[in-house]
Amino acid sequence: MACWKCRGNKGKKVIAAICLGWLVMMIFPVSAMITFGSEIFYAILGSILTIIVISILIILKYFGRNSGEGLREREAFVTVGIGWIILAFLGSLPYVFSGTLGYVDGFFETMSGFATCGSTVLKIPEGCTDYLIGPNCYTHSIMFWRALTQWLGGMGIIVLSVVVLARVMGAGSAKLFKAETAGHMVTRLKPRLRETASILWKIYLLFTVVQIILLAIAGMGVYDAVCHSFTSIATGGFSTHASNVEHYNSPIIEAIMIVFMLIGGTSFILHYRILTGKPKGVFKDPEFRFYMFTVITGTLLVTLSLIMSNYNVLDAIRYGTFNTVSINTASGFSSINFGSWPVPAKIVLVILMFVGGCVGSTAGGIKIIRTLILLKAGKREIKKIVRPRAVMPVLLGGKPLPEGVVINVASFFFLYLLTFVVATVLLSFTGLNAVTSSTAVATTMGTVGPGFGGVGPAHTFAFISPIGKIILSVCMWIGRLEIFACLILFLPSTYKS
Amino acid sequence: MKITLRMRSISDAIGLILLLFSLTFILPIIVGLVYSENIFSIIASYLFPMVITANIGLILWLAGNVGGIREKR
Repeated sequence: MACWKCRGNKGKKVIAAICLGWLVMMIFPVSAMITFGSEIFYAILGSILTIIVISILIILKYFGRNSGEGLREREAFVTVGIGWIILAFLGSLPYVFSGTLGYVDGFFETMSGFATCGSTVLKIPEGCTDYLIGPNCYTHSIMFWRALTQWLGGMGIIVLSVVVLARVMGAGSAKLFKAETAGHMVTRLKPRLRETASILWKIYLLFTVVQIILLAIAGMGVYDAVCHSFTSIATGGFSTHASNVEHYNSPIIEAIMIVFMLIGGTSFILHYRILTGKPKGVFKDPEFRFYMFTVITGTLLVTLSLIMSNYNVLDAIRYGTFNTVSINTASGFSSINFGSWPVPAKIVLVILMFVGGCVGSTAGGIKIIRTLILLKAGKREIKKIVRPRAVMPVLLGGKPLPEGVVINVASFFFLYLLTFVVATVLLSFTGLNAVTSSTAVATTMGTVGPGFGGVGPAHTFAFISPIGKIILSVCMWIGRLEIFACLILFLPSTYKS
Repeated sequence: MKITLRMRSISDAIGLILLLFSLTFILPIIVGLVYSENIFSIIASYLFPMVITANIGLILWLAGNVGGIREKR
């Protein structure tokens, strides 16, 4: 408080001007209370009070401290971790204020959007035949907002902030970029990370526009094309229809979406190389090759399983390819209810939920490169039994990996599995069966979307208890930020010198 | 326990991100207007969240910067 008193007249004027502006902006919520009466009175009043209380607490606590501080690594991780929760809370306000969803459901839906998960709690409103068809159906704007959250979350809202606000943020922006993208594994395209982030967003925008045009030409309609492009390049999975992509029953639309889901699941660094006329190295990239290997192998296994259970061969190829690519890239679209598929196909899909896409892509999961490193490290350990004194570094693309990277990947894998087990146990206490709770956690941590059992593609997450939805929201948060940025918040050493 | 995190830096960064994020609410407002949705519904659903987000962003940014502004002067 001492600093408050010694601020001087200029400082007081600045504060006074800001308070005045803040009060003017509050005219909108107050006028809403008068207009809408008691229906949203408490929601808006609660929000205003929360803002006032939080702002006063922050101002009293931190006003006038020494300046000149920058973001260090730990602050960057804390900023990203906390920032995502605040963003999900604020992003849920349109659902709450429009009366579409309650607070917990709205938070779940928004976190699912930002994490590009695609798990939904939306149900077809009573008297409607689809989300947007019927007398009391959802509005186009709310479904657009839902798609937009996925698009923003795909490349990362904080990465976008780095692009736009790098000059204001200063050196800290690079650390934020690393924290949100698990940057120690993302190659720099340019010496400055801001330029790298800018290129990534431009490529992202380019693919989105191209897909909108292609889907519109394929007969989707401009609104649907925009929403589905937002959610498929982001490997999200939200659709404007309750029956998802099955609604269109169009092989051409499915083919276009397969291509863009694969693009979304590939590292954007590789896209940059292709777009700048250097495609040679792409097919030599070990992660991309292994990614293609998992997609093709997974598709073949699922298709074979469908053919063996008396599916028509063409249908098996069509549905097998779309849904396998959708799960492998952590998109979560469905062109058929794959929850009713034979067990081998479902097992393959569950495995792919964990694997995910490439590092530097919009896909979730453990990521291809980590899976590849783990496989190679496992192979090395087996070799070491035969030749215990041999020095055998793990090779990736012919280059030896530092041992620290291998340990980092092994630690990540362990923490991922530990989180999966803990979350599954916690979720099962809410009354869900083993298949539903385990696949719900796997699908939210892998940011896929649908699971199996009660959360299959023909169902929603709406029936899960509020506590269950919070657990799953945390899983999405952890899965999207790749564990470390989240778990660092729970380490006491983060807050100590 | 003495907290040694640079809270002002965190507050500054989150504030800026929120200020940027508040602008994204403009897009669903445009979609709502294109589809002739109820104007009050649009205001309640997107304009208020936008104002709230911008407010929180502004306050957080200020909390991280006003000390610095004073010292520059």
